[in-house]
Amino acid sequence: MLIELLEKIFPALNDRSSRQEVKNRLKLILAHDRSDLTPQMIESMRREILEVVSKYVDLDADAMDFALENTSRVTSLVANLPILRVKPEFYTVKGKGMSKETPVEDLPEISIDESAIGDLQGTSDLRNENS
Amino acid sequence: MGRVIVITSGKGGVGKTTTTANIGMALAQRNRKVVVVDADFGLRNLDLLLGLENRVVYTAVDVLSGQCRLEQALVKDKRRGNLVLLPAAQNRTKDSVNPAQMRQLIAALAKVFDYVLVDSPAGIEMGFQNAIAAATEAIVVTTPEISAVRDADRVIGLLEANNIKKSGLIINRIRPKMVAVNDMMSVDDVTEILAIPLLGVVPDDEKVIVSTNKGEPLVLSGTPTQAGTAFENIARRLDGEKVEFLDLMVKDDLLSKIKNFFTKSI
Ligand SMILES: Nc1ncnc2c1ncn2[C@@H]1O[C@H](COP(=O)(O)OP(=O)(O)O)[C@@H](O)[C@H]1O
Ligand SMILES: [Mg+2]
Repeated sequence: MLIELLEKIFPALNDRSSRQEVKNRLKLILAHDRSDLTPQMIESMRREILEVVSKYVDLDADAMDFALENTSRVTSLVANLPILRVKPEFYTVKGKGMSKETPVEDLPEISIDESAIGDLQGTSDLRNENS
Repeated sequence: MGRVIVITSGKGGVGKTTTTANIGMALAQRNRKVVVVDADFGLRNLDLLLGLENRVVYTAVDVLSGQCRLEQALVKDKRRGNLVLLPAAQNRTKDSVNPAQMRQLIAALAKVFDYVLVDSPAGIEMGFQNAIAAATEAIVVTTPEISAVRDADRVIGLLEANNIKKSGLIINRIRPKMVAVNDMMSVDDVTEILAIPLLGVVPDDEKVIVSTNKGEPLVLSGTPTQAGTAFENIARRLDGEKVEFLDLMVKDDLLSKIKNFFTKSI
């Protein structure tokens, strides 16, 4: 309430000033101007990149972002492609049973010697043995 | 060899010719030998801003076609003998000259003068190509408006592509009161976007129009004006001096003090 009133009286308080608006519009249009890319080229790049990436992963189509950005006269293509999951055919670990977890009872017990925790002599010995 | 500097902008009416006339005169006042070249063939203006229109006999086109010698086409300023103008032809179009011819013409001038300032036409076609052909430095003039800044950006790209590596930016017609209420881009806004070094800032000043009416660059007027001082400072910076930027911001009245207080504390 108070803020709204203040914003009315002092335009500097909000970002909707015509100054901020014109800056935003300029930055966007310049990113395109500077790249010399036509909207058609950007669109076909987007389509082809998505095609390639989609062969490997499922993408979140709603959260995707594909834009030209510009800082200090260098234009970059910034793509944000949130991955939902890797396509099953590209799982790195394959094979029967591997996806199931082995029950804990079936695993060998791991012992621990509480008095030796932090015993550096022990570790260095180990290192010597390995080398 | 003198420095060859093109004054350019992309968009028309942003102050290229005003800048050329004033910086040319200011450099001459610093005892530099200066030639200002009107490269706006067909739409010549620089003679008017310098008040030299009645003394134009020959033009650059006459020199190139062998109608006259280069010395004959040059108009010497009576107030400052070390400032001369090479007028553009008024009855020709921009296509009557090509970049190679411009390079020849300007190479001859650069042998004699410390500064060759080339006033470029608007646009990015032949006339612009001619104007930048011989330049090794550029002054890009813009106003703090979206279309002017966009065109300036385009021109900066073209200058880089044409191997003109040294460019300085002039932001003309800034209105500090509008900037203060966020209705105009500030000097910082524009410099950040265009990303080339700032050479100077010139306020919007009615005195510019009065000086144009009289054919007398502002830097000549006895009484100092904001815009005139700005142009003088630009000439000094160009000439290698380090000069602080004018503080054009409106002095804090009570309202803006309150505003600043709230802006900072929120
Ligand atoms: N700083 C300024 N304040 C007020 N008027 C200006 C200023 N600079 C330029 N002008 C006016 O703007 C108009 C265009 O200027 P000009 O130098 O002819 O631009 P260009 O050569 O880029 O076309 C002229 O009428 C001129 O008087
Ligand atoms: Mg002009």
